[in-house]
Amino acid sequence: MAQKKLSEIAVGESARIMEVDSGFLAAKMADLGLFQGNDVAVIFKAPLGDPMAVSVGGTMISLRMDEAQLISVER
Amino acid sequence: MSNRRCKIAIIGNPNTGKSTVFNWLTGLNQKVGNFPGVTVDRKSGNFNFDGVEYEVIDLPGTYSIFSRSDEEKVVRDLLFNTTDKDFPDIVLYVADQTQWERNMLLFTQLYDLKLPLILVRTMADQPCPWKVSNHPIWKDRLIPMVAVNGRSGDGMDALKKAIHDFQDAVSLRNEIVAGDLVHLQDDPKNQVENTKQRYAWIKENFPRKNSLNSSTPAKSKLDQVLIHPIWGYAIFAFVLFIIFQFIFRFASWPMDAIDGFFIAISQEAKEILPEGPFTNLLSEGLIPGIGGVVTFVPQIAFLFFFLSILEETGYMSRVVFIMDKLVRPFGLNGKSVVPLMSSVACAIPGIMSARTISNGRDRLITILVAPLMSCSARIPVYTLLIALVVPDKLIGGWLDLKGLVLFAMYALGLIAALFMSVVFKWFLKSRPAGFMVMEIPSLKPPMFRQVLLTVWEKVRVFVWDAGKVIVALSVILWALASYGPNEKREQAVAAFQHPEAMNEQAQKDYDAKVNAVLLENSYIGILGHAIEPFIAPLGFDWKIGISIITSFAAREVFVGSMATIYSVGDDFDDNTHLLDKMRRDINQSTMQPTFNLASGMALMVFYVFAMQCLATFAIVQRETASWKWPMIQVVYMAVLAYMGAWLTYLLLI
Repeated sequence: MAQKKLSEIAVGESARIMEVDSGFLAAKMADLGLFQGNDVAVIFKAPLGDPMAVSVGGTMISLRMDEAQLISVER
Repeated sequence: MSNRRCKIAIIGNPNTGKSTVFNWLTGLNQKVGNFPGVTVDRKSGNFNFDGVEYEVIDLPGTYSIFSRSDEEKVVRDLLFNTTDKDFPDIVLYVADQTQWERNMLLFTQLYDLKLPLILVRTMADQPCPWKVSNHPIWKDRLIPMVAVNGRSGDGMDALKKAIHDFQDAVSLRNEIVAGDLVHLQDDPKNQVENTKQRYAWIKENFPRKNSLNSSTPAKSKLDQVLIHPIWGYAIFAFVLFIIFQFIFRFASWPMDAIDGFFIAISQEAKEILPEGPFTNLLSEGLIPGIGGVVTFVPQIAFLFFFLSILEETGYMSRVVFIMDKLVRPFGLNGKSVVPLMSSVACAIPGIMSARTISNGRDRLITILVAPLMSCSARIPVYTLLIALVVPDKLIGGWLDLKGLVLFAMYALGLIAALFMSVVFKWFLKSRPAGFMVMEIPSLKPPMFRQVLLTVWEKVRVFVWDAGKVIVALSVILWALASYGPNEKREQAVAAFQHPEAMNEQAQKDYDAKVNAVLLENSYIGILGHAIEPFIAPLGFDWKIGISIITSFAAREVFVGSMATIYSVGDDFDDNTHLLDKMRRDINQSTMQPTFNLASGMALMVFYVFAMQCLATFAIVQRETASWKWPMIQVVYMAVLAYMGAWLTYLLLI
């Protein structure tokens, strides 16, 4: 199964997080439940396609595209 | 009674109802200040239970003890420092029970720090999808658990009682145990590992109830509309329209009443007190100065009433979400939009509302450019000058030129704000850029108790914190406009013949003329003359110079100063008399009318850009906790105003 970036996942689809690029934002994302092994669903995107709203563990989180690009997922 | 514990800190994730709990506990007994060294609200309050005084601090919401923003650092620094004067005797950990897993992360960290904890479960009216009550950790450490309802206030008395009866089972007040949490502060990679382990522990220990297994929040019908490519923006525009309607229609009534009230007491003071410098200071300097502070209250109150409803309902995060991409190229983020739009009514609440921007750089840029948005105080200046210099003309047979010029002034302010954002983004690029990784809270009806408390808090912060600076500076401005070298003033007044026949009209004319020369020969008047060579390239004479200086207090003062200088007296309900005099005035150096199309437009452009507002200066000082930024703001705006006015004059002359 090919890995994709979370930014490439379409609205309404979900995927499992395989890896989050390390760094300052990775720790921030982990606080909210965005870390390896969790399932994430793309709920909607802003009218201009950016940012996107995802759901993980019952929480809705907004992510800019360049932030969603840090997250590798597998469908 | 034995050594009673009395300091309580409220900690929890954002959007959990932390502040609601705080407000129920303390009511109106609250104080707002800044934590030392940072511009993070320090809200404290107190309550009394059974004769014991409890001091409560509402700490900023955070998801983890690992800090990323100033708000989170405040929480971490306090909890890691047992000698801090605010170090709590009891920690109220507020957790939204419908978001249990995420809320437990910070809880486990506080638990490891061996803090004396009480668990407050909010959203008690909603089912909790996790099995939480039977876990041994509550018993082992005797952690009391209280369920509360922020809407009805149910459970708040039980909470006070739990605080009162609290028995500390760990008592490790002088010992921070969890070395891990301290050591990991600068190690994001291992923070992630630590967080993952904690989440695993939480999942294992608090299993989901089978009956409620739907885990992902679906896109709600309402959200479908609120972030819709057309409806989303249309609704936002409509909401702004409603807010501005309210502010422009209804804020002016209390504002006029406040103005009238302060004029009345200032006259009263003049009549009862003996004549002299002290009476003048009181009735002409101090009382109007205080009036100048209070007059902002209706606008601030109205705006925060609406803004906190938007915030409370969760609609604000939808606005941030749909606007973020649009404003990002300018160095702003989605959260800058509402502060900037609010500044069209008044920059003060706009700047105060920038507190919700957690990224320091984006917040600073927003504060610095907000006063460029054309606020309502500019309207009297625009109206007077447009009436004076813009001809009645329809362009293409239907577009009113006067309306077009007014629109152009608003557009110019907006363009300048966006342009300066880009400039500041470039200057401040060494500071960490903002991010949008944040929770979107679910939509819910607002709690009016919360809304009104927010309004009260904002008004109080403005009146007490910014008010002092405003009153002090406006008294200084008044003194400079009312005093001058005595000899010069006496000579100037003596030049007028006191009217022989004392009818009322003659006396009035005489008084108006005396006031005009007194202002001309005050310190500000002398300064106005002195800057004339400097502002002559913009087409301005000394009279405009004086008005620019006096209207640093507030833009609308320009109209009053013009009335004094052109000695039309102070009954300027109707501007026709003033307009007439201004229209006929001839600039002594150019021999042109003082107010022609070029100089009038230049002056309007000047007012688009120049700061010209003491209250804004004071609130920026308060909100950035520095004198440096408001100074930089005044200077950059003055440079912009000068250049803008000069270019306009050159183009139109």
